[in-house]
Amino acid sequence: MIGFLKKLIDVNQKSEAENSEEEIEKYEPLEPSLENKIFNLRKKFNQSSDLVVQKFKIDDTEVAIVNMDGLIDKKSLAISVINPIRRYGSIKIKDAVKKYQFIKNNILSYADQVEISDYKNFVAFVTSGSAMLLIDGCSKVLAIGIQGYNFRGIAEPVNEVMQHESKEGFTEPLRINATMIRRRIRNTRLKFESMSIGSITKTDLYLCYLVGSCSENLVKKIKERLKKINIEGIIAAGYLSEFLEENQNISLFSSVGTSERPDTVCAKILEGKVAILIDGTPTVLLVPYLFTEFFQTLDDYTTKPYFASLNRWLKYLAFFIATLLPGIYVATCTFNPELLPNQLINKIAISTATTPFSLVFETFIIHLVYEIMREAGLRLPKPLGHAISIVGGLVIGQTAVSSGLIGGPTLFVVALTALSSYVIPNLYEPIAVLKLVFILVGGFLGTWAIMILFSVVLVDICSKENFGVPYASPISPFGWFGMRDVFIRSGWKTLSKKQTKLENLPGSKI
Amino acid sequence: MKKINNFITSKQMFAMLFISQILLYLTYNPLTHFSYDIWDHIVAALVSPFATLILILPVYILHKKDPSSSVVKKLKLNLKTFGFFLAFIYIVYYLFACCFSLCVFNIFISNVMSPKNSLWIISICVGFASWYAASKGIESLARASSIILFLLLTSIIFMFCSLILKIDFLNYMPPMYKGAENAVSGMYALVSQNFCIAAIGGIFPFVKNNVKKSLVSWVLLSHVFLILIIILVVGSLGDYLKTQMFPVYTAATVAQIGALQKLDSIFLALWTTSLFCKISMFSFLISNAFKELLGKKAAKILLAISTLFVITISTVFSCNSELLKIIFNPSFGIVFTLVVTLLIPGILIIRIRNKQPTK
Repeated sequence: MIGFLKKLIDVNQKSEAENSEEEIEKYEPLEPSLENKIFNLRKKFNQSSDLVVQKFKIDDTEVAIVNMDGLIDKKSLAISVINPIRRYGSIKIKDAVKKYQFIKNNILSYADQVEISDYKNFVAFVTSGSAMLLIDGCSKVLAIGIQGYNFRGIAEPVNEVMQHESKEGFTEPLRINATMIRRRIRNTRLKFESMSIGSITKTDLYLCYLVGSCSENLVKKIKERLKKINIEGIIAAGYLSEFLEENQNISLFSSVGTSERPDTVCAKILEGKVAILIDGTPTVLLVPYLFTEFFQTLDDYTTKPYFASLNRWLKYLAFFIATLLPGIYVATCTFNPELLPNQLINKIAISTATTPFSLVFETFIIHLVYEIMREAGLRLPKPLGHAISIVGGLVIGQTAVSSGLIGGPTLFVVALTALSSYVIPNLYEPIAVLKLVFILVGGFLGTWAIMILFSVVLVDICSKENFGVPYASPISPFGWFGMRDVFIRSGWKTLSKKQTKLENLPGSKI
Repeated sequence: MKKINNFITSKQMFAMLFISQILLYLTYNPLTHFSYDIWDHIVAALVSPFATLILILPVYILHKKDPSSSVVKKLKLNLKTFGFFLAFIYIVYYLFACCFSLCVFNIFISNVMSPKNSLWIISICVGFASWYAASKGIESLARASSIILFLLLTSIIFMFCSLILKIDFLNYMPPMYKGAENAVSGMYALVSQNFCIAAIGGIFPFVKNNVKKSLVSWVLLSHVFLILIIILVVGSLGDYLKTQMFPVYTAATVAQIGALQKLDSIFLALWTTSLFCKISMFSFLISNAFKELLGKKAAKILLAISTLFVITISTVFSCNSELLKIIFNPSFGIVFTLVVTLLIPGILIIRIRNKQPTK
């Protein structure tokens, strides 16, 4: 039944999409009459008030400049477009098409100008911030690129702080982000391919990769998948990343990486991966992404190998603590207390004896409270953040323990879990869900059930593949060559000898 | 480039088989091994590799004749309706292997865990987890098994190191001191419960490189592992062993290295993960056999039904000691194993030979 409904919805969606595509794809040439052009444009934009039409005359010919309010640099429009036309004086050409050609070639010598002859391109250019020069009697329109909207400046990304690296982070405009990559990789092999996704938003994006290092087959597969996306709009990177996953919503872990740092993105491009830059978001998507990459940061490559390796081990340990510790704690204390040393079990027994709730309930609730506090801290205005930490840390934490509602050892486990979960921030989502599931499973069924769930999660990780690259590679399928940058970070002399290409990874089907 | 789907390496095959086999040795108990004197089983462990190699031979010959299809598919192609019936025997054998392993686990958990878990819940959890893993395909299973094998070996080495410190040489008696009866029963157990030989016939077509080396090392290393277990467990526990239901578990409980003691948690983790791998592997083989016989859609439904069957049978049998005797019956086990490892492949070899045109 559900399958039938899904099919029905799919068919409807497909037909709707086909209709809208037909509507968009229909070629509508621009008319020579200025009045008609302006009338049709206003109609297309549903009389939207941000469509600015500025009319003036050159000799006897009526001319108009059309643009979207706020998207162009008004100073550039005045200095580079309107003033030169007005100052030139009389053109003395009667034919409108010849007049247009004269203005285009002799008066306006702007580098970024494109000739448009249909409404589809007209809409695309005007909404991306071009000023459009329309001449009565000529069916061609000149798009002049004088974009000048305001945007956030380049700053260090808050979510991806590095100790030693560049303080530059991506910003919202696509082209600025592209230049940040180009500045770092000054090579002709670096290629940007533009695409537009979203039947309504028509969001621009760039596929960025290094020709020769990145497999052609991989690029082809990514492009095919992007073309198949049927969505109204791409407002954030997350909208797109789900479509790039092989089994979209089923797995807990993501095989699409994200970064807000140009240096990190450049490093991944050099490894043969494809970066997807989306207009309007500072987050760049990286495909394909391996599980082990969550434990690698750019800082690892600027510190000494032994220290970087220690950090790697700490990250793996933190991941296991964050995911398994609360579950194992509850399971062991409830079902197998004999597994713990006597002194420790005595302490836990004393604390649980004085608290009113069962250990599993206590641990589960305190984790939920922590998640609520985290979410509140994230959404609240910054000045209120301190108040939250006081309420959370002191009032709830200390009072709950001193009043005997929660045991001290439980609070310690929760705190350690919370700390560990932030060591690998990109894995926070699966960790947050898994730790709650492990608590319930461990609390109600015991240690054996934790091991079963652990095995299921392991199978889930091992079964994932993205664009033919096994997610768990090079751990399983195992490859010695790839392991030089997994549990230990080899020195640059070893790493720089030969790059690990994605198609050479064990089990790769690119 | 040709797209390769769902293939595993011979090393991954080794990992899957090794895990399944060590589960048999870790869960060594008088109920399934028909004797309380584990020491005499060392003789059986020395002879067993040869027996295993002989039992593997027919399946290996079949694989050499046509590496791209499993025994079930070969039966279907060469023996038509009769082959269909024989293929069904393989499916029943795989189901038997799952039920057997789950029953032993149920008995263990119901004896060791406190507060007690419902046997139904244990079976449902293990059954559905394995069903999920089997539905992910052999590639995923093999990859997960490789990681699990690494974790298992690390834990086992740790456990062995701790047991070495506990060895008392007075606990060792000359083998077969009280006659050969125990050794024979050990041999009986090792052959009748070696479910992996039949599994090999189903795994072979998925292996992309030479299997010979992996098979030989699997047979030898798994038996070396068994011999080590016997030596360590007998040496550390002595006569106390004869009163224990799960001797290796008891040995793990008494083992300690410095501050680390009570290694039964490690043992429990080893058992659970190995059981998961083993049942998942057999569930996959069931699903694949159904797929080859009845098609992809039917296989999906029948795998779910098989899982429910395994859950129900193992729980019902675990609750009743009389029923358990049926599933643990050595005669039944050995006949069944010989049928699927020698008789059916033998018939198939003869049939294929007769079919081939004479020069």
